[in-house]
Formats: sequence, C-alpha cells, structure tokens
Amino acid sequence: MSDTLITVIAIALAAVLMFVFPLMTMSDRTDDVAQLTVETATTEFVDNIRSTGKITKTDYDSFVEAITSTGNTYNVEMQVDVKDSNLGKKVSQAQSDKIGENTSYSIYTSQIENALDSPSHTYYCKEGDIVSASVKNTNQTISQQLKNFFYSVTGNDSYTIAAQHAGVVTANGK
Amino acid sequence: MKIQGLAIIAIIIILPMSIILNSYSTNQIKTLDLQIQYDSKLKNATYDAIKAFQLNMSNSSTSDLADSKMRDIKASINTFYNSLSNHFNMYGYGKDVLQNYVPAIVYTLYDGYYIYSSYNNTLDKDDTFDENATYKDGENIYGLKPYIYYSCRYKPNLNSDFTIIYSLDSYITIQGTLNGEPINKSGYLLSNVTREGSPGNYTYKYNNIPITAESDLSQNVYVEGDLSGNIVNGNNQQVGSIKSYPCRKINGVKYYSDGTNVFSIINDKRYNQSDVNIENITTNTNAIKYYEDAYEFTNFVKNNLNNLKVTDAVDSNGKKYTDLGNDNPYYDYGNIFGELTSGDKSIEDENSNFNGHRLDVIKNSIESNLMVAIANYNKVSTSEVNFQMPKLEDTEWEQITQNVSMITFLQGLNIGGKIYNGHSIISNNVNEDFVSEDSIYISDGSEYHRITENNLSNIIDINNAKGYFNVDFERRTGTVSYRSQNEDKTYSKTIYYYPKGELASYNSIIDANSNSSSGGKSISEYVKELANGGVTTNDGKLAQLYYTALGRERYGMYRVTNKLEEVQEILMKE
Repeated sequence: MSDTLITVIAIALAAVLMFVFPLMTMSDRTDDVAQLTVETATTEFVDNIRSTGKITKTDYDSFVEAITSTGNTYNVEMQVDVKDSNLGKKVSQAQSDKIGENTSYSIYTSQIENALDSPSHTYYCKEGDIVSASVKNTNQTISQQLKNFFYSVTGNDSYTIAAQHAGVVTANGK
Repeated sequence: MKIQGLAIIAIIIILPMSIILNSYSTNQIKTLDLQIQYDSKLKNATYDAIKAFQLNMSNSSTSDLADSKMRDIKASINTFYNSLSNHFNMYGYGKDVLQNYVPAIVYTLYDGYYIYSSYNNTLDKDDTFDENATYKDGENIYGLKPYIYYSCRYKPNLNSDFTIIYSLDSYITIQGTLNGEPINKSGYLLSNVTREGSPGNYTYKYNNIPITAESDLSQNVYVEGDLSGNIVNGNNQQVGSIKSYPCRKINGVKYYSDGTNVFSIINDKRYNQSDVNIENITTNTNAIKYYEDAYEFTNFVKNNLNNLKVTDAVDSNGKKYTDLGNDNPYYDYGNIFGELTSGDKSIEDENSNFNGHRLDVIKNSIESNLMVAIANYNKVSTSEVNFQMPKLEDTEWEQITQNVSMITFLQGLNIGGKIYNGHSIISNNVNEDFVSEDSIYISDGSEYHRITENNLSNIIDINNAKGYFNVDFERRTGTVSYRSQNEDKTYSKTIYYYPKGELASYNSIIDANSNSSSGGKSISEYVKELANGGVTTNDGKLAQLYYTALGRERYGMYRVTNKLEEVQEILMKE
C-alpha cells in the first residue's frame, strides 16, 4: 500500500519535474525574450522619433510588427508633450526681468494615429517636444497561464511584458 | 531501473541545463538592455552639449569669431562630459574615466569642422625646460584640433591647381592658381538670379521675384546704462533698458539706430559708431547685395570653371582620385558646375551635380580625418580597447550635411560579454553660423509662422509681413552686476529678453502638422512653386518675403572671406 502511494507521488513529482517545470522555465524564457524584443523595439522606435522629429506610418507599422512577432498582443500608447513657449514669452513681457516657464500640452495615441492615417502618414514633432511610448501585453502568455494555474495569482489586468521609453525630440521634423 | 531512478536522472539532466540556459539568456538580455541604455545616455548627453552650444552662441555677440566659437565648443564639450558622467554615475563611471572611452567628438560647422580628441603635446625647445609650463612636452592632452575645411583640390590642367572649400549651402571659396593666375574668390552659387537695367541702376530677380530694399526691421536689445528704461538691479536702481531699434546685421555685427546715432552692442554695452550713416541702417539692402554678389560670382564660375569635372579632383599629393579605382571617394557626376549652363536643373536643386559632389567632399573629408583621429586614439587611451570608426549610415550623413551638427563616439565600455561601440549625431537647428532654408520665419507683427504653413499668404497681413531669422526669436540674456547696499558683496542679476517678441504660430511652429510641405517637398521647391504666380499674387509676395529675408540674413553673416572694405563701404557711403 505504502509502495503504491510512493509510486503515485513519484509519478506526480516526475510529471511536474519532467514536463511542467521545463515548460514553465521555457515559457519564462520566452517571456524574457519577448520582453527584450519589446524593450528594444520601443527604445529604437522612440529614439528614432527623437532623431528625425517625426513619427511616420512606416516606422509605426514596423514597430508594431516587431513587437507582435513575439506572438503576443499588445496595447501601444504614445504621447507627445508639445512644447509651448508662447506662455513663457507672455509672462516675460509683463515684467521685463522675469521669465516665464515653457509649458506643454499633450497629444495622445488616437490623435497621433489620426495623423498617421492622414495623407502625409506622418506626425511632425519639433525640437524640445517630449515623446514617449509604452507597451503592455494584453493577452495572457503561456508563462502567465501556467503561473495562474499553479499559484493562482491572477488579476484581469496583470501583464508581464511591458516597456516604456521617452525622451526629448532633438530635431525639427520635416 | 525504477521509475524513481528515471526521474532523478531526468532532473540531473534538465536542472543544470535550465540553470545554464537561464543565466545565459539573462546575461544576453542584460547586455542588450545596457546597450540600449547606453545609446540613450549618449544621445541625451550629446543633446545637452548641443543645447549648451546654442545657448552660449546665441547669447554672445562675438560667437561667430573663431576663438569665441572655440571657447563655446569647449564649454559644450564640458557639458557633454558632465552630462555623460551624470548619466553614468550610478554605474560608477566618472568624467575622468569616461574620457578614456570617447575617442573623438566632432563639431561640423558651416564650412568645416573641429575634432576634439587627444593629441601629443609638443613644446618648443625653449619651453621644454620651463618648469612652469602648464603642459609638459610629450604629454597627451585633450583638445580641439585645427579647423578642417570641407575642401577638395583640383588640377584640371597644367596651369591650374586650386582648392574649392564647400559649405552646407552653395557658398564656395576658390583658392589657388587658375590658368596661371592666382585666385582667391568666394561667393554663393545661384542659378536663377537675373539682372535687369543699366549699369549703376541694376535690379535683381530671383526665380522672377524682384528683390528690393527693406525698411522697418527692428529688434529688441538690452542696453546697459540707458536709464530711460525700466530695468532695475537688486537695489531697485535703474540700470538699463530693453528697447526696439531699427537694426541691420553686417559681417556678423548688428548695428542699431536710435534716430540720432548708430551703435552696436558688445557685452550689453553700447558703442556708438559715428562713421556709420543712419540711412544705411534703417534701409536694409543686404538682400540686394546678396543676389548681386551671387550673380557676379556665379557668372565668374560659369565663365571660368564651367568645364571643371569631378575627375579633375586630386588628393593632397596631387595624385588623381580616379587612379584609386574602386577606392575613389568621389562619384563621377561629370561637370561639377554643369547646371550653370544646362537649362533643366538649377545648381541649388538637391539633386544637382554640384550638390552631389559637395556632399561627397564633405563626407570624404570628415570620414578620412575622423578615421585617423579615432585610430590614433589607440596610442593614447589607457582603456585597452581597439577604437575603430563605425560606419555611418546614409541617413546620418544626410543629417550631418544639412545643418551644423555634433557627432559623439563612445566606445569600449564593457556591457557584460560585449564591448559597447556607439555614436550619436544631433543637429543644431538654432545657430548663427548657417542660415538654412528652414531657418526663415514669416511674421506680420503678431505671430511668426513657417513659410510652409497651409494657406499662409492669405492668413497673415501679407503687405506688412517680413521674414526673420529663427535665432532672433530665441531668448537672450544680459547681466547686471551690482553691490548690495547692506553687505559688501557683488551680485549679478540676469535680464531676459527676446529680440523679436512675437508669439509662435500654433499651426506651424508649436505644432508642425499644418504645414503643406508634408508631401516631402523641400522648402526651396515649395517656395519656387509659390514664386511661380508672380509677385502680384499673395503667394508671390510670400516668396518675395522669404527670398529677401534669406538673402539679407546670409549676407549679414560673418565670414572669414568677407572683405572688410566692402562691408565698411556699405555702411558708410552716403
């Protein structure tokens, strides 16, 4: 009787060790690689905008293509903080030895996407604007599913692959 | 074997494999992650350095002179290292350490470039024994190497041997011997300038748009010691004023007129120029002079260098580049100035032979000198890294050849299994070294706009509008020093002002998405289309404003090759 029990336990343990553990490890690695791909793609995408001063549809499409090639689905959010130096000028005129501060207003993903769908297929930035992009996975990766199954840690909005990069635009787009 | 035994064997095989794989992939990820971070850090530091360069240049009244420019560049390099070490601080790299990993920094300017790198200090025989000398003989010092021009030597025939210095636009300088005669000429090449009228009474047209004299070109300036204004120091005493005066820039110096006197400003102080005629300040003929000079210089080139071919280019030893076969850096475009006589293309066109060859010369000059500088750095650096010049992409060369830029290299940092090798290029859009095509803004007194703004000619008050240089919309500073009334200390207060106080247009400057050049047209092509309607149309008037402002600002630039007598003549003649 005790032998049978030990055998059953051993088989269960062996199954975990031989199948589930490698599967979890490999899926974790897959997520790591996906994370790296997404991080690299996001940084390159943002840095390219910072150098050229524009977001083109071609760049955006190849960025989306690069991140979806990891087999997951993602939510991409972009934001451009457009520098508005006019308010600073106005303040300086009221009192000539004081200077005002530059302010900025934000343009969000849907507005940028609208510009990308316009005939020019480009959103133009200027030097001094701040551009940022953040990416989160929206599906559950295999690693997440396995973890949820075994550890029962879950939440609707949990994501494992996320990347964010931002910086000042260094050139006027043209 | 029992099933337990199999399980144990499986664990023994799988566990180390997964651990090794895990650590390998983690390492790879860390390496790539570091590489990305380093790229961003380098870009940020380069941008900071360019901003420092811009600020120093635009706030200095002598920024266009070589020694002042070198000072600004050195300050900018300090900013670069400070910024870089700040960014790297958490990784334990300080400025002294990082300097070992920066083989070269390049500042590409209007007609040449500076390379900041390490060099071996060589003292004169007398200085060698001077114990007080700051630097010892044979010591390696970081510094700016001599200015290198974008130049190419040509030997079209036995009697001709000259060098042409190119620039970021169509300004060239020819020096050497042409057909046995010494030559030293410089000027702008423009295909589409036409001259009408009789000697002494010529008028000039560019793309059929007449170029006329301008008046009412005023700018704000801070004058220390002018007590009629409202600028006070910390003790509430009046110290100066910011006022708008008619202004004309000649040879890099801005001359202002207050109605009775003409003066210039150096370090916020007013210097009266008693020899200068007020009329010559209030009526600005810079643009006419620009097109006149360009017309004459272009004609000279047309008559004397029309047959100059790319294949006439020789290296510094006088050996033809064509003998190098595949290593010839210059693509054979045929006649360099061919567009001056053939009708279908203009020399200003982006795809002209002249521009193609000009870019080749700039590229070859920077590439060959930079390669040497970086390779030589191997002898100096203590970091035991083999420094090599990375291959710059075409888009990067395009960026370098379009505006004043800064190129930085960071090589040899260990990023876990790999050696980092990165570079960054940032353009300087606001500088007083180069009037680029997109640096002219149009203002009717309330807002300033880019010329490419949709339907601009009908939005603004076209008859009262003018074109201005973008640098004049940047903030300037002046400094007031004063002693405190209570303590025996000297304080300084910074005064801020804008030479042109108009606000930026939300349609084309702050948000650049309402510009009609979005179709990929260059600004010169766009303006040429505007000019097609003739000067009676609003579009034609807009083109006229643009061409006049471009000519005025380009003519007002300080150039080493400017002839001082001509400049003085313009200001002083009745």
